[in-house]
Amino acid sequence: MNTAQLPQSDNPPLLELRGLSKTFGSLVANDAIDLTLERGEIVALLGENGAGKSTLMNMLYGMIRPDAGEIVIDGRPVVFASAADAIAAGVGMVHQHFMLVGAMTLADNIVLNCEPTRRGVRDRREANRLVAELAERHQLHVQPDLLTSDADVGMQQRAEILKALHRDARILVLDEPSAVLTPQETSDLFVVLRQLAAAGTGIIIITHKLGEVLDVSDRCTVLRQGRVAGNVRTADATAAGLTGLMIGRDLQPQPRPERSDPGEVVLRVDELHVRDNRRVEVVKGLSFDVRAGEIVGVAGIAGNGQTELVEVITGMRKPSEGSVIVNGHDESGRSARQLFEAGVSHVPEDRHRDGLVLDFSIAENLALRDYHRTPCSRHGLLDATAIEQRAVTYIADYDVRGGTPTTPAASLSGGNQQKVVLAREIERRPSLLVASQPTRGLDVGAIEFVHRRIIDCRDTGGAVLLVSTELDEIMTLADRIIVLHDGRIALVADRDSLSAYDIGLAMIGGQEGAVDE
Amino acid sequence: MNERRLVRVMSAVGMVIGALFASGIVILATGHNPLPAYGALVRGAGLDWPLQFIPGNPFGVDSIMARSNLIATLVQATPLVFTGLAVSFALRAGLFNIGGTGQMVTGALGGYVVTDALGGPLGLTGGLIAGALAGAAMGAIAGALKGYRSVNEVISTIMLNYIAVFAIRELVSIGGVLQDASTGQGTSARLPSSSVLPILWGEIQGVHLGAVIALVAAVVYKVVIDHTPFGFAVRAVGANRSAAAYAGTPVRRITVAALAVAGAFGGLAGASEITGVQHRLTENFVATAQIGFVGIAVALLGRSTASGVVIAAILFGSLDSGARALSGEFPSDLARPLATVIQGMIILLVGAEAVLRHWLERRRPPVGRAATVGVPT
Repeated sequence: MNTAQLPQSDNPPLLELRGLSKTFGSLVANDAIDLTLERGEIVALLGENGAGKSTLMNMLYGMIRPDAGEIVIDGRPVVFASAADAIAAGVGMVHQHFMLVGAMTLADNIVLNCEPTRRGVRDRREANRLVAELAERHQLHVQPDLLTSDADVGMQQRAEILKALHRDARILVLDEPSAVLTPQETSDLFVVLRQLAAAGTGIIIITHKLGEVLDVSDRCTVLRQGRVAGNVRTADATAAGLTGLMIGRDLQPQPRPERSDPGEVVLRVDELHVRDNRRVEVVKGLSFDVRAGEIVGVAGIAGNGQTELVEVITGMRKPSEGSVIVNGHDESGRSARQLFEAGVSHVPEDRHRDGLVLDFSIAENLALRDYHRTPCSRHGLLDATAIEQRAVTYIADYDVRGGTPTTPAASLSGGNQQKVVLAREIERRPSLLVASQPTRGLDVGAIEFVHRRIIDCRDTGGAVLLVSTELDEIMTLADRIIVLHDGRIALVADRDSLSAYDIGLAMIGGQEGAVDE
Repeated sequence: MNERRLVRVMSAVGMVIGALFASGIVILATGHNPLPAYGALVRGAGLDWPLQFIPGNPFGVDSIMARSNLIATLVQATPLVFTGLAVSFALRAGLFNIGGTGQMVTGALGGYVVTDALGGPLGLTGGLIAGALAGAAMGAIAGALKGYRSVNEVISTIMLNYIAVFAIRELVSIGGVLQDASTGQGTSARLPSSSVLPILWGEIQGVHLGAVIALVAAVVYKVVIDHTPFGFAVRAVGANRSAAAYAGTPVRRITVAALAVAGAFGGLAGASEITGVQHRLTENFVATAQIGFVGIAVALLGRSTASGVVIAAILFGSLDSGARALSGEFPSDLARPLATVIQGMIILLVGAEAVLRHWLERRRPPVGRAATVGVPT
């Protein structure tokens, strides 16, 4: 394993972030963050969702301006007005979601905006030659003339790295580079990263995977709630120590109403495999049950297969293998409406995009699921009176403030919007409620309300699958907890037998703890 | 809600006034006084016709002239109502139907063939239905391509326009299947007088039954959009495709159906024009069918509402028929372009308003809404 190079006092570090701060409204995303990167060093940036990693890297890449602090490269302070400035200063970024034009060849993408020209005309042959040479030098195999949309994700990622290198990046930032790679591709990538580091490039790798941190980095900086929680040499680091830094608190299970004994199995997920839009397998063989009268919490860092799992259970995506069984009926691959009618309700994670039609009134949003059935429709015509009357009841029962049935949903506050979604999905007494990030962006009062309703749903005999990246939320609500890591179940157990630490460790792929299945 | 509606109406009226103002500058630049020009335009469109009923006829309306001008305006407006509805219905589903021309051409073809084959009132009824179905088929093709293959409906409807236009040329040009050999021209045989839509007001080229059918179509449009589950689904898909899908709306099927219904309105434009005005298919029908594009302006100005479309269609019809009357006051080579300039100004302002609204919305906190062009919010 590499050892960290000692900073030399007469030689300024390649990159220094000094006291970088950024506030969005009332949210302090970054609070006086310091970070150093030496030439030839690989630093891992670790942290939970919302710890401030993206904000920090966006400031480094010129995408957002810091409120305070400075960026120093080679001892000279720099100010980036745009990504172009950052690129000019030698910063290269490989985003988790690749920034490549699918309809162009890989070579065209790599040289984009700094194309070789001959007599003022783009010289594609020269571009292909340059790319082939660059690829050869760095052992990053790509096929220059291949259409990008035809390249597999591994090759696309190598193209992204080459794109940065073609622009003479000396500081390379990789955001979750292994998220889309197979284990073999990942270890190949790490070999390349070490070679690049050996040649003097400084590399920052953002990751959630403990194994990778220990495997590839020289040093590890952990962020928590917008601050640097710790900065350790990888050689001295342990999985336990890093997890402690990342979680940083011992979550106390809050007292809550007694849970009744769970009943029949309502949802059975059996050997489920799902591919995402890029055709990468992101759910890799999941099996679990959810029973009536229990809340099963799915914890995990965002992007470990939760979204796709929820999409399959709610009919928004077809599984590639395996089955989803609801109340004993195989509902795999059925439509969203069929699953709704089979008793599955869904509170989507993005309520603005997926949960509500913002231009519609509250009453119309409440009718979005069953506008074609009684009581909303009769004899082929909408029954506006019935739709409105039901809305009046729901608005009162769910304490939706600031609106009458005809108020557009767009004019409600976030918490009240979510109450509309909850009323629509819960009031019909679903046999299964799938709630994704149900309290994201809500204030404390609204969070409590949402939690109360979810518990009520369970107590009246509903099965609840709660997906959240908020550990607190999972610890507060769930009776049983499943931790997803890399599309697989890393941990499953009763909540009362788990500590936040166990879950945190499983979330980042740590090996300790009661690994089941 | 009423307040929002008032704002919508006022902004449409404001755009028309703005367009007249801007066109006035153009008229001034040609060395003419805009006010008498607009007066001639209004009289030429016959919009002064009701004024004659004021006791004593204080404005000195020439009742015969006004009558015939107003009839011409309403005849022009009739197909615009249909094509305006064709664009509006698709807009409500968040789709841009540029295929009015192709739908109108296929509707005319279907209407002509069936009316001719069956003859009489039965033929007329069948012809209108066939016209609607032919247009619907054109729309459904674009809808299926959009829903199941993600082909942009703007591209596919434009392409379908070409197919329809060249197909009809092939059919009625000399030697074509539908060509009437006795004429020696690119035209079909005339429908017998028992198989044309009755004239309700005026003589030859008078207001025909198609005008009433257009109003019925506008009512049907309103009922379907506002009062049926299908219309609800169309509006939901149009306002937020993703949320509609998550709530279980069959987005693909709605996409196909919405464009099919839009196409049916476009098809009716063609069938009513053939059986009500032209009575035969000619190669020149392709030129008539360009009002498929005017339907876009009608829909945008009419805010995709039934009443708005009817009013906007009459306005655009007035511009067209009024322009002829300008010839007296104006050099004739300036008269027709002027009507086009005013139309262009209205379209420009409608477009600018949509851009402005989009821009204003982007400055608001992000709420994940799509740009809603010409759709009431």
